Amino acid sequence: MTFEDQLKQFISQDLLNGRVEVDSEDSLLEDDMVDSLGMLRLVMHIEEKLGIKIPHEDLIIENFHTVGVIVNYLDERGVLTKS
Amino acid sequence: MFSMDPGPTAYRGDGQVIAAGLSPNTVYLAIKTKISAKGTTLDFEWNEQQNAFYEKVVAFARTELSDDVVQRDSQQVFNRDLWRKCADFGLLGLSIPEAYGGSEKEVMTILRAMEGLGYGCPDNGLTFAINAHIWTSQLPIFQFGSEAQRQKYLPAMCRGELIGADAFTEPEAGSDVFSLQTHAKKVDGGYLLNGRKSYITFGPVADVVVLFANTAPEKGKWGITAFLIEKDFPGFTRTPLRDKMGMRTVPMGDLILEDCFVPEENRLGREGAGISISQSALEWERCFILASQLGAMQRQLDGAVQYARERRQFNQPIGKFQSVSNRIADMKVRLETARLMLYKVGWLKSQNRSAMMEAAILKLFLSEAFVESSLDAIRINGGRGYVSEFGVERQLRDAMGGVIYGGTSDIQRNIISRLLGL
Ligand SMILES: Cc1cc2nc3c(=O)[nH]c(=O)nc-3n(C[C@H](O)[C@H](O)[C@H](O)COP(=O)(O)OP(=O)(O)OC[C@H]3O[C@@H](n4cnc5c(N)ncnc54)[C@H](O)[C@@H]3O)c2cc1C
Repeated sequence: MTFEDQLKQFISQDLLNGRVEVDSEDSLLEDDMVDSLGMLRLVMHIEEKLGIKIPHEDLIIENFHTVGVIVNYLDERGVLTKS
Repeated sequence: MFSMDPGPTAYRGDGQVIAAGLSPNTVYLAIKTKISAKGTTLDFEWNEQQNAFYEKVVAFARTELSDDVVQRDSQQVFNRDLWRKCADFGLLGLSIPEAYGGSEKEVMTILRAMEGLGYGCPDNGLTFAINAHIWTSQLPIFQFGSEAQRQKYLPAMCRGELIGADAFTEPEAGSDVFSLQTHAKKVDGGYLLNGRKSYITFGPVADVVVLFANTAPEKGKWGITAFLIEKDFPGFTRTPLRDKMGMRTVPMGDLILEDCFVPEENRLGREGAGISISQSALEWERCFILASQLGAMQRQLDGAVQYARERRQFNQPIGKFQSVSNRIADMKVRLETARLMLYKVGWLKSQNRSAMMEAAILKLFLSEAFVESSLDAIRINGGRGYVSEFGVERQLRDAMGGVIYGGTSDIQRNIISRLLGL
């Protein structure tokens, strides 16, 4: 499973309690699909899985509004090898 | 103090102890006696420097910060001389590096010092204000500020010359704080801010305010941005001090922004970084404000024990009546349970680990425990507990703020249950 798929699974099963299937391009933050607490849980999950610390100042919508964007952000930081 | 190695030989993921011969009860005993087994340590002992600093803070607070508190509470007076004394002692610079005027200490040492401050200083308003200044104004400026912002504000804040406040809450945005309406419109060279902030600690006297406004309402809360507002900015006014129930020695008021021009260089962090700035500040604030409250609970317990020994009715000390001693036992249990939670949160923060669940549990438990113990203290003191001059009833009024600010108890319960997947 790619990291992108893992993220989608975590969001749909853990953050949204299996209620919604999440696609790479779905907007997570508009309409509060993932709220601010969910967002912090997502960040914690990424940090744990990748063993990194995401700087607070990077927690902006431009880096986190879809799973695809998150993966790009992580890739640009060089912490992800896409499989 | 507080090195804990939660390796696989020591704990299961759910926190259960599985190392040879260690039950959860022995873990509790480890608070008093250091346990080492198979490379697993659980050490709740403070080191010599931490203890020495704690004693120094307690002594300072008792001798320098204890005068007049009943009168200042009654008249709602903030004493700036005490503030300066705290700065001269170094309390305001504990979390800030020397390069910016502080004397940066590590997390557990600051936590213990804040506990000592709450223990030694009967003015809960002052200890609350010190923590608010340090964690929700100074620290965000240090963590998210530009070099110029750090140089401009931090040394003067550490010296006690500038007082900091943080302003999030609005008349229509309390628990639902990210729905705030204060708007920041981009203009040439900066922003024009319009809106109102409510219940702001230090609002009437603050020199610099970390204030949150929305720069992009179409992005909802992800448009929230932090600004550093100086008291003389045109278009920035504040209401006079608001009369309130507790922590009356620190002023609270509303802030009003009417076409208030804020230069670009006074934006704190990036546009849209407001959420993470506020979350980070809140996590720190919760931990350390509660440390001072823990100290206050210890002071309250000491006072209750002393009074129960000295006050005699029916030819014996009232502490001999189980109705009284049971209350004191309950106070002790609350204190020690809260202490464990506080130290755990401090330890997690010192390890740079997330403490979201633990901080919510701590905030909920400790603040409610302080209220409960304050009620018990009043009951134990009888009529003496009810009149103001002995300072017993003041603890209850001060404690009530704790179940409201920084996220009410209901909100903490929501966080805990959400993190449990509900
Ligand atoms: C001593 C003190 C100092 C303060 N200092 C500052 C400061 O420096 N800066 C600042 O920005 N703010 C400050 N505040 C404001 C404080 O953060 C708010 O009062 C607090 O967040 C609650 O908001 P509210 O008063 O609007 O209450 P509301 O949010 O209106 O809550 C009213 C009641 O409804 C409950 N409630 C609301 N939403 C929910 C929900 N989703 N689930 C369950 N129950 C809910 C609450 O728990 C509460 O019981 C301070 C407050 C106090 C008391």
